[in-house]
Amino acid sequence: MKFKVKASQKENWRYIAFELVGTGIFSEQDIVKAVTGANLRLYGEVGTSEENLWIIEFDSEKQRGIIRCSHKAQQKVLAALTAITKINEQDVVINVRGVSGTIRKCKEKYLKT
Amino acid sequence: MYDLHNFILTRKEEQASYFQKFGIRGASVVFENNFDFRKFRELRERYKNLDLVSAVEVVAERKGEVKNAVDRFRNQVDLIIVNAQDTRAMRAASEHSEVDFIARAFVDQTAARDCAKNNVALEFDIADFLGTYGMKRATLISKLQFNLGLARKYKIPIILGSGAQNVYGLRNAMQLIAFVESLGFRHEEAKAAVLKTPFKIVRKNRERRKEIEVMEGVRIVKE
Repeated sequence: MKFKVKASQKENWRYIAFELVGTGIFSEQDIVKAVTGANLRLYGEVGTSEENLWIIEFDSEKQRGIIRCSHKAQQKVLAALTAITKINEQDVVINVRGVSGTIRKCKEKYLKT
Repeated sequence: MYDLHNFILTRKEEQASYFQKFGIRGASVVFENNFDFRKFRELRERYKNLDLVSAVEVVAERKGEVKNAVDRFRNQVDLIIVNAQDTRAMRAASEHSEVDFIARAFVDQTAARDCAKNNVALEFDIADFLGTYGMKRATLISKLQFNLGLARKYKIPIILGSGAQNVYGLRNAMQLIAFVESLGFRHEEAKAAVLKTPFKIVRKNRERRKEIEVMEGVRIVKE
């Protein structure tokens, strides 16, 4: 028997479009480390587990990307991104350009220009 | 969004173009313990897309310094900010209705009551929280929550400033609101502290300087 999930039980995601402001060039791995590290430091392991964080994509040329998280944890993730001040010992700001419910809209609205 | 407490325009002027990137429409030009009108006028002409607010930050170590600074600068600048290094100076600042806000405010019960009475706002710098880690940050957060409790009790206006020395201290409004919410602010309080209260303070002072508002609570509606 196929296991069905009700629409009401499905996870609602939020897609956060961000860009890096700074002089350094960073890879996706650096971003993953920085974002998870900031979340772990601010909320601990239990808090971070509730966020269901995932880096959907990161353009290392433009230094922009999309992070996926649970819609309930949106504010928490934004706060953790705010708390990031350094990546690989280099000063950086993660500037959130916007939050959307779908990847397509997120790209269209916040990452086109 | 207005960022009323940052030092970018006085210390790292070349980074002023970043304000727009972070959605900052108005920024203060903070002079410490003095006011250079010529420099302010030059900056205002150079950055016409920004609403620049002139401000003097009084770094007060003694009680008398607050009064002297208020007498000297009140008619020259839009904002008077007191950064109190001492409890007595902080109390003096809270007793002056001419002071707009106390920067990096970690006030006590008595000062909070005076702040409410004289409509002096409390300001918190995000830079303080971003620049510290571990136990130091935890202590700061606990102080902030104590002050937040006092602000709620006495209905004191709160302002959030970046306190940025360079571009790496700037954040956009959405992120600021989310960050302070995680520190204990309610959503409405955070929104007011980032978006509404700074704008209200600037508008009030400009009206006062244009003599639309004659004194606290008295405005010229029609001549």
